[in-house]
Amino acid sequence: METTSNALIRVEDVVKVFPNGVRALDHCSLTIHKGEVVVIVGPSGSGKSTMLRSLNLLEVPSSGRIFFEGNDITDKKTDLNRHRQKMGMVFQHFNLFPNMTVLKNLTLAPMNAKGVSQQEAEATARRLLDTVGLGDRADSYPQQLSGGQKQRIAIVRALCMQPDVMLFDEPTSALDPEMVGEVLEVMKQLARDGMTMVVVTHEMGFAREVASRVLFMEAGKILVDTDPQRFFHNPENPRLQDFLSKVL
Amino acid sequence: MDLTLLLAGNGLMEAFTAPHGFFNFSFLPKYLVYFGQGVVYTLLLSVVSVAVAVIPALCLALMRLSKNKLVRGLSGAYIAVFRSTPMLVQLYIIYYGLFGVGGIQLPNVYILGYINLAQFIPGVVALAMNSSAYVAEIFRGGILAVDKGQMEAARSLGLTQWQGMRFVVLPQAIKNILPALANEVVTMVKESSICSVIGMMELMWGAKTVATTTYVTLGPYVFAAVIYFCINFPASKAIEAVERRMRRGDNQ
Amino acid sequence: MKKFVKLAAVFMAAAMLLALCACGSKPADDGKKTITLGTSADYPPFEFHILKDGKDEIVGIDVSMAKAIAAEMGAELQIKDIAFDSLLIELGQGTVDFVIAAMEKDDTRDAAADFSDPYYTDVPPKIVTLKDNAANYTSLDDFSGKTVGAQTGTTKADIVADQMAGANPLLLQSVNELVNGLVNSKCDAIVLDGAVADKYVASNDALAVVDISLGEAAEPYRVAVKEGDPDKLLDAINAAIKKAVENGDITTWMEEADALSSEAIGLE
Repeated sequence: METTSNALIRVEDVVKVFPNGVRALDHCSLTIHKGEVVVIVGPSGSGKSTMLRSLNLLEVPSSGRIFFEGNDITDKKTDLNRHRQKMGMVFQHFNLFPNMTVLKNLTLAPMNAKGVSQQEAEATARRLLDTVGLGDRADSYPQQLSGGQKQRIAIVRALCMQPDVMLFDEPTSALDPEMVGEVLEVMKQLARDGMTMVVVTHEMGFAREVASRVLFMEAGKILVDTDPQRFFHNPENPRLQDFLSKVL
Repeated sequence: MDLTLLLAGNGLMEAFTAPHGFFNFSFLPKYLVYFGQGVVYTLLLSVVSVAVAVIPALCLALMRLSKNKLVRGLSGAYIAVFRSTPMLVQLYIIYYGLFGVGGIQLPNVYILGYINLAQFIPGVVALAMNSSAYVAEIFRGGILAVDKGQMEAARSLGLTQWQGMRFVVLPQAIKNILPALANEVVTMVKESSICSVIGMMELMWGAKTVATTTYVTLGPYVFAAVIYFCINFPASKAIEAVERRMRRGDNQ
Repeated sequence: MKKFVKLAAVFMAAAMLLALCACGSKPADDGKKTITLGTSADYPPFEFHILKDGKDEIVGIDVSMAKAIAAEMGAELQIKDIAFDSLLIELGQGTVDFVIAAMEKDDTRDAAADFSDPYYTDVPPKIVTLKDNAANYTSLDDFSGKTVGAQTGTTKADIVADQMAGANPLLLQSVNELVNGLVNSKCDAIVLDGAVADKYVASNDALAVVDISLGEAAEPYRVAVKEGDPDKLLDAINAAIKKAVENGDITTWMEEADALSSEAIGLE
């Protein structure tokens, strides 16, 4: 596969049509490089979540190809599970496993997908829990935690797999306002540590402050792909101007 | 007035004493053993059948949820056939077909002194094959009731579909499944009565035998009904109570 | 998922194979031959269950006959209790070696099985009704428009169909169900074997035998073996029957069965 050395994810002309006929992605192409923080914004139903979920094939594209670290993961012969291990994902509704303690949530995949020993998995989990300030909640169950705590645990769960990229699907949308900050803080720290991130969000402040690139999607198309400076202060696209006038 | 009272009184007396009397339980002290053995047989038959049904039912449910059309169709066909034909017909076909001549021949081996495995095993197979069609739907419902995001989270971490099922989805589905499974046992306690037609010495068979031996033609059936009720009613109530508690636990 | 489905399919196949293997093995022969009787033990005094020392046992005239046959063959007797209308199915399948169940020979049965010499001739079948109605019936024509019960797959069912013009047959599996049908107005009369009818009438005051003759003598009862007698059992069976009839054993067995049945009803 030809690839520039620092292209981590490459999306080639991807179309996604749902069984109900909705065309969620309409010939989208995109390259994400190592170390970038790419924020995707757009009105609801614009296809931005579908875009994100296509990156690790939670949504299988109807056509087009997606490369991760040079491998075509849309190829059926590719071992998808191995690649997904390196793509952490954080969901709007956390999706923590309610039947397990926090520690089990964090060690399940490292032990069963990667074959890491329990001792090592737990050590990693506890170290990462400390970094988000939840070192004392290892033995709690998810339902005993606040929304903000749950989402921080969910981020740690993904990090425990030591991924090369983190995908965030509206990570703060389901949170009470007072808890948004603690989650964004963790994400900012991640960005500062050099993690490659793709973030679908409505937090324009986060985009402006942290993003290296901002994408604007509407009706399944990527209309704008530029740096935050130009995105927010000098938007040329009339649809984007309209969108920004509503959200800012 | 006096006459009607007398007649009513006679009718009442007759209900207790006539050979065909509704409440004629005169067979009881002597023939209780048939009912005792029958209850044990019935419970064993029901519990073993549902237990045996669990694994095939899980396979059927997962096949039903598969993306592969053929696999889905196979499972759907099995479920449709067993849900759309009478249990009695299935029992005859399995007993005289599958376990008949040219089929599986079983030796006459007795457990507890009266349960003939040559009858018990075909009975269990028939009940379990029928039950697995129903339990499969219980499993499917239980699995579908688990939030889709759970499997997505598992898959996004690089776990396989089966690992996601085993570690994440099934343990949560069990909560929805267990009460329904217990109810299936209750249903089976009743349904298994048809095994009396192939001579399995369960509760209904006991009632029939006592009726023919003693010429008390109705009382044994009434007594059997009382026993069935005394097993199933408290069991259903207990299951309901457990279900309520589990649901309360969920909301906390 | 696909991998799992394959796994599941393999698992199910394996489970079935395992079941087949586990069940396929036949019991080891222990030297002495066993012979299995098929009977429908809901028919006192011919075959019925009793409690002997608290244990279930099948007894009756037919069972005594079967024991004599087994003794003649030097074999051990096993008894399988089956619904009457399934007896010849099991005989054909070979799950039982012979059938004794107060069974007469008729054309249909003769086509499905081979029959021995007669071993017992019952009094003719009788029609039983509620005592209060017994006087209403004086000829077979009186059953026109009435519902008459008989046991499924028996010659009594044929009597209802062939001799009672205009009667609606109600065919049930056991005599017990027929009696319940009668006393609970599901039918107006029932046709039973003579000896069985007498037993039920004697034990239930509400019942009576109708004074209508269904022929001089009943068709005699015989032992049935698999069509073509592949195991060559009939010679020994007929020898045992001959002995029993000549020695008057049948009468003794009848008395014994009656006594056992009365003891079973005597509920103390």
